[in-house]
Amino acid sequence: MTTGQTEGGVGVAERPLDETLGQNPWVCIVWDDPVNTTVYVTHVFSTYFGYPKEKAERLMLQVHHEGRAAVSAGNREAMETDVQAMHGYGLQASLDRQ
Amino acid sequence: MKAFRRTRDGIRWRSSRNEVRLLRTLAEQLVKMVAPPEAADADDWMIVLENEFDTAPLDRGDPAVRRLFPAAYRDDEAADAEWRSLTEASMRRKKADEARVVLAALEGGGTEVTFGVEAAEAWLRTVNALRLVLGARLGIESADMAAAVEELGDDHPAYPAVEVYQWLGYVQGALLDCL
Repeated sequence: MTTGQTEGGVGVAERPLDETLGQNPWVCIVWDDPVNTTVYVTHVFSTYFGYPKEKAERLMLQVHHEGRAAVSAGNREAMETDVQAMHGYGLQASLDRQ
Repeated sequence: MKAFRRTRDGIRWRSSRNEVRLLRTLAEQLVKMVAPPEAADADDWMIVLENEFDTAPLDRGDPAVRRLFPAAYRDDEAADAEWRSLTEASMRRKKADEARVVLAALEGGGTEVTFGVEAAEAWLRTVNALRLVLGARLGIESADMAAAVEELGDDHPAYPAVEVYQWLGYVQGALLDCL
């Protein structure tokens, strides 16, 4: 992502890990890219997922610093919906298994 | 003065004639790039059906197309091909429709552009798509390349495209500020 600011932080999956492992075998991964701005990516996470600003920023920072972040977890169909939505916003996203 | 303002009628973009012309040209190019062919007669369901299954394929040799329609399954070509066959036509239509929302607001070419708050997401997504297209054409694939592009002198052949790329970022940021 492109920004004039510096950031630091870690992201977390939407649901507790023990729950996601059993019932939500798939995740929606968002990948870092050099064109989308940090402000826009944060806007997407809060607009589409309804995440509070703090969580949306934390996930954005994880994408920015670690190159990728799992932004949601669920069954395959739900994650395909999320990935398609992220592509609609112009974010690089893909499905992966937990 | 802020570029985007909330008004009673929605959101007003205080722009210049050149900005309006530029955004219109870019949005029109985006529609041409992504829109599936239109049915000649939308009432003829056979034609609609044929179009659903027989859309002109996207030029995947174009890095901008690959960037707008990335892989959903990075390590599974078969799953990705299947996903694409199920989603690509509607994704293309949606991107084209969003660009048309912007074009509708630019109609007339005046510099006082107004659109409803409900159109703001289509504006953000279209401006972002245009930035992605230009970014791909400029070869911005890493943070280092993004930084290098910012340093280009105004005598460089890519400089005008870089200026447009930066302007799109400014427009998007200004609109986000206003929301």
